[in-house]
Amino acid sequence: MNCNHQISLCRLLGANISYKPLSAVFNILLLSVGAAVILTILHLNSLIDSRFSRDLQGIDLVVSGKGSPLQMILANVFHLDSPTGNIPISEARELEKNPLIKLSIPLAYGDNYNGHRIVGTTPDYITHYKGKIFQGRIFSSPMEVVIGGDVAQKFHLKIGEEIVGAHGLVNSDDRHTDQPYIVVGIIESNGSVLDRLVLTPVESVWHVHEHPDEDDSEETAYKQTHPEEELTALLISYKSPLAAAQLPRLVNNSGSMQAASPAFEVARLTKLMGTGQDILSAFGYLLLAFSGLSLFIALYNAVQDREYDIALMRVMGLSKSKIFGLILSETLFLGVVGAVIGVFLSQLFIRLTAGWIYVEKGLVLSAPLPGILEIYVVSAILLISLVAGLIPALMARQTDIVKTLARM
Amino acid sequence: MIEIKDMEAGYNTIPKVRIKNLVVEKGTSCLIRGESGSGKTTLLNAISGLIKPIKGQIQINQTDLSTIRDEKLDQWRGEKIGFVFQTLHLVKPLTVMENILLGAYAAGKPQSKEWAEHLLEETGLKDFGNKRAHGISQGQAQRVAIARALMNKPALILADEPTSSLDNKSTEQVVTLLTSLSKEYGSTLIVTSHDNRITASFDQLLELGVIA
Repeated sequence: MNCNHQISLCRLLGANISYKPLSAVFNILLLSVGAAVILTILHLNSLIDSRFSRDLQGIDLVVSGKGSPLQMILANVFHLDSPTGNIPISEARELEKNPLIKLSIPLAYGDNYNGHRIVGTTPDYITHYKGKIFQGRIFSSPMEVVIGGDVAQKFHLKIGEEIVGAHGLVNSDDRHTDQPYIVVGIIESNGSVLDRLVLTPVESVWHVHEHPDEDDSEETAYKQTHPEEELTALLISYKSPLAAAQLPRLVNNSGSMQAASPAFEVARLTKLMGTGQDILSAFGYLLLAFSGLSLFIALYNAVQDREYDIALMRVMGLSKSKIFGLILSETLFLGVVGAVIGVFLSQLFIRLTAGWIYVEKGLVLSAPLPGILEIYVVSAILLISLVAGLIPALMARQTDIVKTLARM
Repeated sequence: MIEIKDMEAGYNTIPKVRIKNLVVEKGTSCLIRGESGSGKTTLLNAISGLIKPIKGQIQINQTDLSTIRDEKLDQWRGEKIGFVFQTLHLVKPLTVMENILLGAYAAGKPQSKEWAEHLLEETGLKDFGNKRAHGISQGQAQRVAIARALMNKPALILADEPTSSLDNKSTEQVVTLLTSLSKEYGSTLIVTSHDNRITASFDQLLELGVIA
């Protein structure tokens, strides 16, 4: 750092820092990694929370085949897990008649298009997530599909194009080539679960599995054991708060259905994930505290190393307040550089993690730009730097010129 | 001009040096000689205002040091006094030129690069301006310290044992530089030393003894 050829606070700062560059780099590294870990955890936490609450909006109850309630929510609301089982259409229809239900959205699935679930449902599903058809129209008859924005973009799908589903929920070679779907609409991406789904009438799913290939023993067996048309799940909105007390019990007492409350299960999931997040956050805070301590030790040693320089500058006329300011500027400079690198690193970490989540789970998390959270963390780092530099700066200010020069 | 009358200076009210009467005229030089413990450095500290005399008066260019408020003393010292120390004290991460300019910066005065270059030339360090301070010899470093002491064209130059760690050749160079340049720029020069090699170079000599 050479601000210009003249001596200035900036030049003295640069000279001091460049005299022991490794110590400066180490302290900057500690501060920046601490800031980056904290920012990454807080941002990812908030992104996942907002993503979950967006996908949960207005769904009070999920009804599906008996199994783990958390799995039911992950499978049928977020489409991140395998379904627990199917429910007979007759039982589902009977339940939908209940006067406590405001809205019931059926879901039926079992196939995928290049890893994206083909979900049989009604137009209510799209309306519920405020999906907007920006090309084409909504499906109106079996084997017509409306594509989520991310799927359309990823596979460059256009209206009128035919797509072929594959059996199962992950990409496989077991394709229904004889029963292609036709793309009739594309939904604008809105950050909801719709973005990564292929939607079609429920009847399409039944239709595809109605005519198993003669050599497809798995599907033949499925048809033999599931003689009735089935749904995978029902997403239910309550008409009144009273439903929360009555409906789950009613469903759980029925033959093959089970109810799960998304709010409860997500709270449980968040609590489970929270332990890991807490550990990582604690690690970040520990790093910041440690970096404050390290900064203090480095400055303390630096002031002791430079006590002759300080005494010399004092004897040449530099005031106590300027010496104090010089040491504080040094710690603040390290703090600012550490904080800026920390923010940059956190943006990198968030994007890398979001990319990994997208590849692994197909979940799109849009990385946020630096905002209020960064202001808090940067302020905290500056405060830590200031506190760490305060005692060394006071020591430098109080340097006894006569005693120090006498030791020369 | 420096005038010291009936002054005692020391630490914790214990006098280490006692001066009945000392006058050093403007532009002249004075060597203060004495054995170790005779209070040479204490006297320089008192003259520069780094310690307050236990009693008596010190006047520099008609200004009584005791009338300068503490908060103004740093600035006054920076403007009026140039220092050269026994141990060559340069700020190591800075270049030779920057060490000279530091004298002006610390005193809050304009940093004239032309003047600093002139001083480098006068001290025979013309080609050393961009060298790091830790990369030069002891003799060269002491010459840099002299150039720095002259940077603010001070009324007074105080040099504390400036030749004690130098060989004969460097000692001669440093003393010649100090006396000739202070005379050239009208600065009063006070040098403390126990070095007999340099006695003849000064206008005035003050012998100090250890206070019993």
